Amino acid sequence: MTDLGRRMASWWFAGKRAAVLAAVVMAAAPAVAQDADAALTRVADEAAAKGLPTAPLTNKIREGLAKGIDPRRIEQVVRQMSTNLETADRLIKEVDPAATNRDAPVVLMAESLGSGVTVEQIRELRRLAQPPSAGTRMSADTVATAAKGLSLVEEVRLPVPESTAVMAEAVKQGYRSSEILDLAREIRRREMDYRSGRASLTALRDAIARGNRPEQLFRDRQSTAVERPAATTERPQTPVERPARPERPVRPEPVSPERPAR
Amino acid sequence: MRVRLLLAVTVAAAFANAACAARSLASPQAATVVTGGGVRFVLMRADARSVSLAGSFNQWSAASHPLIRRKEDGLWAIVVPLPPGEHTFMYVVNGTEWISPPMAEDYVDDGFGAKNGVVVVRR
Repeated sequence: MTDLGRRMASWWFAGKRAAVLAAVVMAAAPAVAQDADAALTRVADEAAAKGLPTAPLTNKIREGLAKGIDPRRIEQVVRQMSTNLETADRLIKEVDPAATNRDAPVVLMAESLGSGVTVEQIRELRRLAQPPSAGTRMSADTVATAAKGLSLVEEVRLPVPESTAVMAEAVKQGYRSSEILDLAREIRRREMDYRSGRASLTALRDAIARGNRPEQLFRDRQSTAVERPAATTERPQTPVERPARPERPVRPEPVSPERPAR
Repeated sequence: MRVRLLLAVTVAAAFANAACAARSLASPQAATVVTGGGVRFVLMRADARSVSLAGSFNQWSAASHPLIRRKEDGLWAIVVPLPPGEHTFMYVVNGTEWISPPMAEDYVDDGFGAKNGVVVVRR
């Protein structure tokens, strides 16, 4: 065989090997995708078998797949969520063993666990928020909401004991779930004030304990020395409408003077 | 001499315009506003061919909620009726680019290394 013949044969075999490899990968790809899908479905099925709410898991799976995330990474995230749901379910049973509709509080509490709140912190929150009269039981919804509020405050790394005390006091004073979450978001928005010492979580807790309602806590400029006006880092609630830029005037073409003919 | 001066001013103005345009593309503006008809989602992306809204309320579909572009300034907007509660979302630009909303009421980690915007619809 000539050199040219050998080279052509080599190219032909190389091309054939590449084609075979591509065919194997293409044939394997659906199998890999099916395995990944099956693994994700299995996590949701296991959670359902334990009586846990599965909506957050299926939503996260859809989110991950839509964003093009590697299914193995999605599985890790969903497994962690499933573990948090299981822990939250146990905690909710501690708070209210007779609760019939546990899904909403379990999901809220699992979210707070996922954001870094610990089981011990939730138990401490529950202890502090316990009504003084014996025999009165807190609702699972209230404890879960307070835990979620604590997680919102904790995410901006404000001190945990003071934040826990604020949330517990809000529960004791009968704040509604939406009020507890709004309170947590307001503290979060004013993070810099609390961090710099312009406002204090202890003073805020005292104001709540004195019976101040949520709308009375953050009245800027009318504050009763509990809060000072928010820092300038607060984001605007509504989009800033900017005036349209005026039309740029058309610059006249420069006219060079005619030179006299030589 | 005057012609040279005019040329220099024109070149400087062109560079300034280009820098301004680059800044506006790099930092799109957006916010969510809860209105009577639903939540208004807006995103300023003059360079985008399409923008859609994906979130916990539409199973993260990148196709079901396309935003409409305002011709004069490239502001994309949509009003979506949402039930009370907390909803997470992102924008999908040109069908493939997932971006966190530049201005949202709050943010939450999506678990995959990005931030979802949060909008709270109160009762």
